[in-house]
Amino acid sequence: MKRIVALLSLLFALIALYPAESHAAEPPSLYMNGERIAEGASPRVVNNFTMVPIRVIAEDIGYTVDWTAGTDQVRISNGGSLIELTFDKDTALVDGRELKLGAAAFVDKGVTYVPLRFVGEQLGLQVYWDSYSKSVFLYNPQSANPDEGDADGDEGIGTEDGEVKEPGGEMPAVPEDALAVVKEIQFDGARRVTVLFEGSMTPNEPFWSGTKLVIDMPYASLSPEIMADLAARKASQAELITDTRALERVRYSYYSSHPSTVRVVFDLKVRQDYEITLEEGALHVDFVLEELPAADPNKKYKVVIDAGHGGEDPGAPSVTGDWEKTFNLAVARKVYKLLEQDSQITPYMTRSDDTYIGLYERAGYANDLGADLFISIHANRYTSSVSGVETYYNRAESLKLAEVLHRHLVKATGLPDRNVRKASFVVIRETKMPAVLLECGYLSNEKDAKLLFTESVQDRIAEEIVAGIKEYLTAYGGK
Amino acid sequence: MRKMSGLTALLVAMLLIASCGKGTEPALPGNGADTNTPAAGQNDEPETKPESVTVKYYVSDEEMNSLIEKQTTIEPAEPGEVYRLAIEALKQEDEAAGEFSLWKNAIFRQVELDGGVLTVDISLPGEARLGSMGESLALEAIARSAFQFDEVEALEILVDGEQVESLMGHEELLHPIERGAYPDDLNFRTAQAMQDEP
Repeated sequence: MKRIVALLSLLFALIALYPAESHAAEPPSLYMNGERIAEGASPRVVNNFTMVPIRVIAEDIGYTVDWTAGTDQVRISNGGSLIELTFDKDTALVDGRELKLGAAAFVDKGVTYVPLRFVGEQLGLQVYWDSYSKSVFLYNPQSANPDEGDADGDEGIGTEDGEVKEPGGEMPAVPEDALAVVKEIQFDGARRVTVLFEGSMTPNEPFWSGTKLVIDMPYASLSPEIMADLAARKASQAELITDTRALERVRYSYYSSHPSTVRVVFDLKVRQDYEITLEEGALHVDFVLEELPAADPNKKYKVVIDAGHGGEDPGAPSVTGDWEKTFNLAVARKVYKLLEQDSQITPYMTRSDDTYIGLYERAGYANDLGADLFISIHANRYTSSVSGVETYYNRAESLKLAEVLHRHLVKATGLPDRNVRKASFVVIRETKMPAVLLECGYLSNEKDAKLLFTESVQDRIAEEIVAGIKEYLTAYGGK
Repeated sequence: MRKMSGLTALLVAMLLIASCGKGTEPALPGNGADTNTPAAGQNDEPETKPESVTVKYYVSDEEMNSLIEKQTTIEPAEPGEVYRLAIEALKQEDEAAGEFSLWKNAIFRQVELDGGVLTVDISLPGEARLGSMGESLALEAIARSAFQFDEVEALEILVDGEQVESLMGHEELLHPIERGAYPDDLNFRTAQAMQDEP
C-alpha cells in the first residue's frame, strides 16, 4: 500500500509556510493532493484570515455538505462526525462541541467560505499556504487508505509512520493511475532541461514560487529504479546539479499519490522566460538565459534612488495625517543605507532632505552620473476603497526591472497586485537607463496608509527593493 | 510571458465590449464638438436669458483604470461662462454608479478663453493631489473637456497664476497643451499600452 507520508517533508521544503497574509502575483488557487480543485472559488484573505470554500474540500474527502435554503446553517458530515456551521458566526459545533473558528464563515455567490485553519484541524488535512501564488495546498494523509479501494499490495516507498522503507525489498511497482513514467532528467549544459518518460504526459501549467519554477505532472510517476534509489538513500527527492550561473539545480519527486504526480522544481537564480516543448517521450524546458552576466568583483553599479516630491510639493496627503513626501524620503533613505553596505553598488539620492527637485532635474542627475538604474519611490492616492501596489515603466528597456521590483514590492507590502503599467511620467521617460516608478500603496486607503507609515513595513519595503535591485543586477547586469 | 496572448485577447475583448456599449448611449456633441458647439461664443451680443448647453465631462472608474465620458447640461449666464461651467463639471461624480471625479477637490480660480487659448488657473489644496496615474488621468480629463470646444486651440493650465513644470509631481505639464495632445479614442491609452507590450 502506498504511503507517501515521507513526501510531507518535501512539501515543507517547496512551499514556504506563511501565516494568512496575501502577497500574490498569480490568481490564488486551491490544490488537493497537488491537483487544482474549485476553479471557480479561489481562496481569499479576509481580515488576515485565509478563507477557503468548504464544500469542494469536504466532498473531495468523502464528507457530505448540506445547506438548507433559507437557513444560515451548513452541516458537514461523514457518518462518523458532524460539523455544524452558522454564517457570520465565528464558532462551529463539532459533534455538539463548540469550537472557535477565528473568523466567521460566510457565503458569497453561493459558495461557503470557512477559515483555512479550521479545515486543517477539523477535517484532518495538512495545510500549506504558498505566499507567492496566494494558493492553498491541502494534503489528505488518508488519501492512500486501503478503504479507498487502492488495494494492490505493499510496494510503497514510505511506511505508515512516515519512515522510508529500508532498502533490500522488491522493486517498487508503478502506480496504477500513472499514465507516464519518468525515466530520467537530463541537462544539456546550457539552457535545456529534458524530462525523458514513457507513456503519455500532460503537465500542468508551470508556476513560480520565488525564483523557483515548478511543473507538476499529474498521472505520472517516477520509474521503479528512481523510486528504489530514493528509498535506498532515504531521500524524498532526486536532484540534478546543473550548476550554471543561471540554473543551480533541478529537483524532482513523486509528489502525490492522489493522483500520482511528479513534481519538477527548477532552482533558478532569477525568474526568466522559458519555453516548454512536449514531444514523444520527452518534455523540454528551454530557458532564455544560458549564463548570467559574468560576475566582475570590481564592477561598481550606480543606483539612483529618487524620493518623489519634497519641499513645497508634498505629494498626496495620507488618511493618517502624514504626507507622501515623508514616506518617500523615509523609504529612500533606508534603501540608500542598505545599498551602501554592498561593495558592488554605489547608491545616490536625488534628494536627501525635504526639498523640491524638478522632475527634469532628477532625470538629468541620473543621466549625468551615468547611472545603471533609477528607482523612484512614491505612494498613491485615489478613493478610500482602492488598495494595492503599482509599478510604472516607460521605455522597453525598463520592463524587466519593473517586473522584478514589482514582485518584490507586492511581497513586501502584502497589498493587492495592481500590476506593472506603462506611463510617461517624466523621471522614467527622460532617464537613459532602466528606470521605474514604484507606487507602494494608497494613502487614501486606511489599511494601506497605516502600513506605509509603519516603520517595520518601511524596513521591509526597503529590504525588498534592495533584494529586487540585486536580483536584477545579477540577472541582467548594469546599463 | 506565456500567458500574454490570452491576457491580450481578454483585454481586446473588454475594449470591444466597452466600445460597443457606447453605441447605445444618446448622441453626444460630436468629437471635438461640431454642430452642438455652444452658440454663446459665436454671438456678438450676449443672450438675454440662459440657454442650456450639453457638455461632456470625464470621470474615472472605481479602480482608476481609465476615463469615462459623461455629459451634463449647463446654463451659462453669459457667453464666456460656458467654458468655466464645462471645466467645473469635472467635479461631478456619482459614486454609486462607479464614477469618480479626478478634480473634486481642486479649485478652478479662473477659466478664460482668449485668442483660442483657454487658460485655467488652478489651486491644488492637499486633498486635490493624486498619485501618478491619477494625475495623468486628471490631465487627460481636463484636456478633453477643454478641446470639446472647436474654438479652443490650446489649453494653458496655471497653478496659482504660475506656469509650473508639473501639476502633481509626476507628469509633465506642457505650456500650453495643444489640441491633439489626446487622440479622439478614449481607449487610446489602454490600446497603446497593449501594443507596446513586448
